[in-house]
Amino acid sequence: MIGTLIGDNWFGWSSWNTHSVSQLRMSLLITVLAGVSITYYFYSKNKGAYLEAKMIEARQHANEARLKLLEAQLEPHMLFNTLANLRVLIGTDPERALTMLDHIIAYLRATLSASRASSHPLEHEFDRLRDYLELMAVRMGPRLRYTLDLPPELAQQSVPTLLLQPLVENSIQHGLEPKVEGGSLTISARRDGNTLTLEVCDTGLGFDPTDSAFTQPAAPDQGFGVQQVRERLVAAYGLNATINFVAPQAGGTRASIHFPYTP
Amino acid sequence: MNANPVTALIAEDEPLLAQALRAELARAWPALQVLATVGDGASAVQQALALRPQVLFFDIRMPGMSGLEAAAELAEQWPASGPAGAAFPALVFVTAYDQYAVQAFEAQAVDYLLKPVQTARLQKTVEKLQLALAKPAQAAINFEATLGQLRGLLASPASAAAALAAPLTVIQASVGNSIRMVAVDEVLCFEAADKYVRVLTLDREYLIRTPLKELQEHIDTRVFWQIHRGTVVRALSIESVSRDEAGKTHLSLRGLKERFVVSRLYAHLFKAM
Repeated sequence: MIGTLIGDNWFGWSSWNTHSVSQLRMSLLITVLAGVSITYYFYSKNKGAYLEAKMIEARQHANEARLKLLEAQLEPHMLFNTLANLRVLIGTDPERALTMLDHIIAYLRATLSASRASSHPLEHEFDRLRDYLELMAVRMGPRLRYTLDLPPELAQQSVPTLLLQPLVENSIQHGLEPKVEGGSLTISARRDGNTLTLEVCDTGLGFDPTDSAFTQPAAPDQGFGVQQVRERLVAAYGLNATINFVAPQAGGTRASIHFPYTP
Repeated sequence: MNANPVTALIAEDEPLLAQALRAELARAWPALQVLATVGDGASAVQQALALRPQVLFFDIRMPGMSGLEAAAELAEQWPASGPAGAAFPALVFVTAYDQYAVQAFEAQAVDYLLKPVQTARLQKTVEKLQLALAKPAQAAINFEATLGQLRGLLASPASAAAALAAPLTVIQASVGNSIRMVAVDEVLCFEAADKYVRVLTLDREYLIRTPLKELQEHIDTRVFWQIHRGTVVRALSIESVSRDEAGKTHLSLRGLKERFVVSRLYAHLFKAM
């Protein structure tokens, strides 16, 4: 329009007066259309870049979580102490060394492939826990006693792979290992009507009830293992699953998971 | 060589590993007499004080008290050198994972072994120990060097940089149902007490639940000096430091009646210029 005004002055006649209003409307429309389409072009270009950045961020987040999980499971103290025990047994008790090595292999295989299969039968879950607990039993000697209680009729119930592993590791690392006299650990499954209950119960040091990792749904950096269990329960069962932590009178920690039983 | 055999104490919570270290030592150093094997830090301190071994093998990660904390506690309680006191034992830390970058200490007073313990590496440790024990005159110098290294190992490496970047300026202490904002500039002393930390100012005392170790990561260590495992004081408020006949060091803070114990580990901070 400014251009038109300048042009009008230059040539000495006015386009406003001589041309019909419809023509003016037309030129306005073209200008607006051009403006809108250019704006849309830049908008969509930026939106594409924005979405791509978001996707990269999400992928990074997933990778970080996987790495963190792997780091937690292949924790160097756990790994080297286990190997140190194996080294001793090779010299003193080759039979036991062989059994221990088999548990190490099964534990490593499960840990490294857990991200691929999303669920497995409860029976397998308990077998993997047994591998881990057998390793810990060699290391801790009489300081660790454990019981795995899985009723045969629940053996084929499907659960997210290694769902209980972080809870069992917490019981060992924060409950029993730091306790001078050690203690016992019980992992059990039971059915109450339409609900399946899994429990990890230890007689260790117990937890601080004010620790937000146990009370809030998601507390970043705190209790990574617990947070991970919560996320996987939500992913698998939505709002139909719950997890809670109780500090029994006798000491220790009891973690209970409830989710629907599948007939 | 000394006619009396060299004595040692092993502290390791994993029974198989303790037994194996004992067996490996018997091969690498047949003359060494292992007086006892214990499975936790507190027993390690207690047995070391009772048996007075010349060499200590301490696992770092143990239930209750860690190997590092046990060594520091032992240094604290070890009878002052003199006619009655024996030299402080030579320390060897055993660990599965060198999160403390222990290689840096290879040439120094405190030795370390990585698990699984390799025979050749253990041999090197044994030679180093034999060399050190052959020079009893060095004992006092070694003790000072050991204290220095323990200080280094116990200090959290990330703390200094983080504290300088964003130092804590206010302490939120709960008093009854309300939260009191206490300016860090007014705090004279932080002292660990059971599950709490006492925060002392000129006119009041507050209790907070944040562990001292965590607090230390956020306060300027040039302003607040650690004088004991559980005590951090404002350096500019220290009034006087004195040593009693038993060799214990105490200090007092301007405006407070209370006296604070200075641990042996940090006594080096207070020497006349």
